[in-house]
Amino acid sequence: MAQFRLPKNARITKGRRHNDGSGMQRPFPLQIYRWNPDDEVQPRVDEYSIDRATCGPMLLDALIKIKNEIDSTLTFRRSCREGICGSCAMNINGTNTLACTQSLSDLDTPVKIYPLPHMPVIKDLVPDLTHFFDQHASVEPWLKASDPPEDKERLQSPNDREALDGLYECILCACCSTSCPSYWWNSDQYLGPANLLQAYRWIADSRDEATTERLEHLNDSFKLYRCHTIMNCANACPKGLNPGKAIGQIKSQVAKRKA
Amino acid sequence: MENTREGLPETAHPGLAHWRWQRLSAILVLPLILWTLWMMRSLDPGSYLSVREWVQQAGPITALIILLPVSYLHGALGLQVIIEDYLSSSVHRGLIWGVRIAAMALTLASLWAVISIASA
Repeated sequence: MAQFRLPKNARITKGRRHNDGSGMQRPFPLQIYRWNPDDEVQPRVDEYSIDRATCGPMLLDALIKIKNEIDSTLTFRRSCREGICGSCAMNINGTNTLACTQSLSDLDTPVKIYPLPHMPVIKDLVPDLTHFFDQHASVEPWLKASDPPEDKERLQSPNDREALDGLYECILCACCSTSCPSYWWNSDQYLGPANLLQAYRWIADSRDEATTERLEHLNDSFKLYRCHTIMNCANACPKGLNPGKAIGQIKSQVAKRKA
Repeated sequence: MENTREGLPETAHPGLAHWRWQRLSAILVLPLILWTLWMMRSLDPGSYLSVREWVQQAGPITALIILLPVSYLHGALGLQVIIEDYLSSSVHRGLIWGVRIAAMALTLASLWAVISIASA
């Protein structure tokens, strides 16, 4: 039987207005998704205002300010605050990106903040990435090569090293995978743009000796070929990478190996 | 190797063949449609006699005999993607085979129709 309504715990209700910005020099309104698994309440969108005159320049600064000064129950992940750890990935005004590299000046207000789409939510803005990282482990993201002679390093030419540019920079924030409709519908089997880019990072590595095995593992109608080049991944990537291109390279290498 | 891939769903089936046929049929369909449309300039679609004479020419009959199976193949491959993308895996096998059989039947019927008209 087709289900035409979202389940109850996915229907978002209007939440609380914590303050209205009165008395602030430069009020900046935000609407933030809230959900706590410990109570029976449906998800809601709470409204906050912060004073930009006393806030740092990035959205993560605003979230930290809310947590410190207005509502200590607001929950989100953050760590490096400079776009390297990928912890603060979230959906900001409809786009998946990192809160720490998202400038407040570039946002229309009220800023609408939700967790990464189509992932189970642990609490508030914290998605459950367990399956995402299990999939990452499945591509075996490490160098697979026979041991080199004891007194030598594994050498790589500048050109071979250059082949990894645009791949090694991925921080596994999951912005790309959670913006991909194919990943939304088939994430149980489709590896998604982030993990396929990670897989290609090792296929493209001249020092790796498991290319055939890696390509065999990926030649699967669901793991790889659910990519229909929608390219939301490249639009979403906060590091400016192009997972769609990496997926195209994997398809091309699979085809060449089988030719 | 096995330990890191445990707990994830089993391999579905290799995807390369489907991907190759999809691209090959797409590359063939576009010029074939344009070629067929270009040849249809001399066709009067309101007259059976005109259609029969048109189909009996070497160019149109060649185009139709290639275009029709390639179009049905491309359509069946595309429908397979839609089924796999959006429907429950429990119905995949039955529906995909249904689409393949329907595409095969339509191909045979279309070719029979073209050959019948050409030999009339």
